[in-house]
Amino acid sequence: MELIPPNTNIDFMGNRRYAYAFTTVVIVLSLLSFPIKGWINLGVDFTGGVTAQVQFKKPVHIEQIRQALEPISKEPTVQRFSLSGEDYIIRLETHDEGTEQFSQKLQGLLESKFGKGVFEIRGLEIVGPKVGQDLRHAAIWATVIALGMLLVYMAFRFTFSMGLGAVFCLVHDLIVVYGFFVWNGMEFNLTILAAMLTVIGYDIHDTIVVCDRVRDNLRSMRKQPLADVLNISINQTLSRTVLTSGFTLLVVIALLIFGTNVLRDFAWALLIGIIFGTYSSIFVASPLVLAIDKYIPVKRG
Amino acid sequence: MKDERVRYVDVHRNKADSFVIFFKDADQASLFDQKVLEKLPSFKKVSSEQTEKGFETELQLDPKTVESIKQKAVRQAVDTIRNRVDAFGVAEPDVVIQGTDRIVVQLPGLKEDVNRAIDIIRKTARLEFRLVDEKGDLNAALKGNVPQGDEVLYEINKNPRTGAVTRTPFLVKKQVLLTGDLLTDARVHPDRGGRMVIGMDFNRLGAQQFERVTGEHVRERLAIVLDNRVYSAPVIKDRIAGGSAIIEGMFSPEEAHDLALVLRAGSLPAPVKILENRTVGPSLGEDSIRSGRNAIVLGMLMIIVGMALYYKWSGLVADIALLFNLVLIFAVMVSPGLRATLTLPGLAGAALTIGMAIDHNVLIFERVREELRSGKTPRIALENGYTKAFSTIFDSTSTTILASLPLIQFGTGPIKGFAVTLCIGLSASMFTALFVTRAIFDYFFQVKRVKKLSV
Repeated sequence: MELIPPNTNIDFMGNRRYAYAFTTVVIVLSLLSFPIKGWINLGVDFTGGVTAQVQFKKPVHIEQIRQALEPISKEPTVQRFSLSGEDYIIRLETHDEGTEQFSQKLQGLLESKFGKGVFEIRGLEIVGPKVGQDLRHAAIWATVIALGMLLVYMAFRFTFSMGLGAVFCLVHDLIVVYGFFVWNGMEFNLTILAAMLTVIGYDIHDTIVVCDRVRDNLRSMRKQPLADVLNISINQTLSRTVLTSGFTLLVVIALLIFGTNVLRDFAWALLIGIIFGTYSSIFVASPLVLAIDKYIPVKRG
Repeated sequence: MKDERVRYVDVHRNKADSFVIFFKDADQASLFDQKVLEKLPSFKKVSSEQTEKGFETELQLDPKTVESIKQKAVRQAVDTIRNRVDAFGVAEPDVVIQGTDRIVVQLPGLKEDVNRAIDIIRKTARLEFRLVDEKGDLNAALKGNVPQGDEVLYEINKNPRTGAVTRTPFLVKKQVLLTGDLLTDARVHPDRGGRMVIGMDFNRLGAQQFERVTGEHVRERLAIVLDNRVYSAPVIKDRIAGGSAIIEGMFSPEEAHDLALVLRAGSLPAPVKILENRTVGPSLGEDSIRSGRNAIVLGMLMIIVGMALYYKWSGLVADIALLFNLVLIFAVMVSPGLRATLTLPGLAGAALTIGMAIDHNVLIFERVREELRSGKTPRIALENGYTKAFSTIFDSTSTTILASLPLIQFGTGPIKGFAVTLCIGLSASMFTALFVTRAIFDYFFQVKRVKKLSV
């Protein structure tokens, strides 16, 4: 069985203008989310604060929950997150570093409003502001250092321009997933960070596969123009790219369909990331290598 | 200082890492400099001056010592907390240091009240025996005129029926005569009036000290101070030998039980703050783990069937390698120390690893197909396929591992778990793709003498 016939020869490089246009549109759309929708909705993992998941055994109004919480928070976010049951997510900020007494307070306030045994606090996360800030810094530093090391490794094993291509690819994917989350008002938390990291890992891998083929072909095709070498390499790896992405997407789609709420956001991040990661390793990395070949030539032979 | 017969008036801490000593006059201060200071290499004299009260010398700890004390305190706190959480009886409590000054405590399957658990963990439990200053003027002290070397501490009692709280002030000396470190046991029992009291036993050193202290201070009151709160201040009637004492107070049975527990487990070297608290209700945890597991199993099945359809017999070989790989990953993941990985980010790491493990096989098989198309015999095609795919697999695996190294370095808990799973999974997958499948193919070609390659 073959999905992509062996002698497929799509002129990726010749049509790269379309890729440029599409990439630009996608990036602009993602970045536009910032002035329009504002900053990404950071979860308590990063900001510090409280997230509680509460299940009520009888129907309640969001307004009632807000009223109950008035003594501890001026503006708690209360969200209903399942259509069938009375499950609510409550988010609020805490300003003090100590969090020890909080869950008792919450339990007490809800009890005095709704009575005992009517609800169950199914999950409670309290993150001090210091911890949230540390995590934010750690995430940024880890990304910067990872990208730096990737660039050095690629320059050493491949060429510097391919390293730049790979890094640009990653930045592109991160911007897209970021934009997707902001546009949909989804919460960016620790789990989504893990999904982003997964996308990075997947994308690095995907880009390396193409670059490796290019490196391989550069040895045997010394006379051919770089555009042709890139084209041939992408075509040769196309069957593998489609197959692997397809298999990975199978798992992600299964997660999307069968996962619960928490998993679903996670699966969305993976889905978008993998689709655009696959796209970018073909349509972003290679055209970039070709475009900067004038300035940073790929060494031949 | 006592040993050198230097007379001082008072000592008090003014900052976290320095303290001030008050002397009667400059002579005593210089005597101190000569005889005591040289024995304290980790302290540095910051200032020393004549003031209206007398002569003051400020000493500061050098930063290196502060650092090592901090480290020691954290390590000691981990031991103490571990002792305390052991009493909860959960299957696998986990207490580890994170970074320089944070401690992560995990109590999977905790059945008791979470708040009570947190209270037990965070209680400093510094038990001190200090004398009540009988000569000092308590009323003057309450107005802010505390005699030097003393402080005002309160006894707080709550009437169990009315809930009324009474606060009784005591003027106690700062000097600590005996601490809770010297205890061997603490347990709860009712006294004659049916109230809960905590009985304590001292070790030999403690018993000796207790006997000496009680002998020297007959008819004075000895305050039993726990975390800066006076629990009782009985009058010492006579020298007490044998090394046991009781703490009275209006305890509820739970309070008494928890207090005895922390006294047994030892005190924390420094107060702890709860920075982060994540509680996952058993039902919620199960829900998301079950659905995540089901989805991944389903995805895996689709991949296994897909590989077999697409690459026929070779696909089956890859499937075997994949299962082998999964077993490897889970074997490492359930090993102690990595248990944190069984969270969502851990699951993500596993999913990514599966995706890459598939890809390793796809890379090899696509190369083999290319070789076959160019007219090579099956054995040569297989040989070349593996050789050529090697550099791809090697480079992609090393870059991905390289990119996850900063996560292991900077990441906390679950993110670190993700990165660790990824590194282990990728290494395992490289091994299975390059060697395990190769061994299976070689078996068929060399032992079974198969001539055709189904790929």
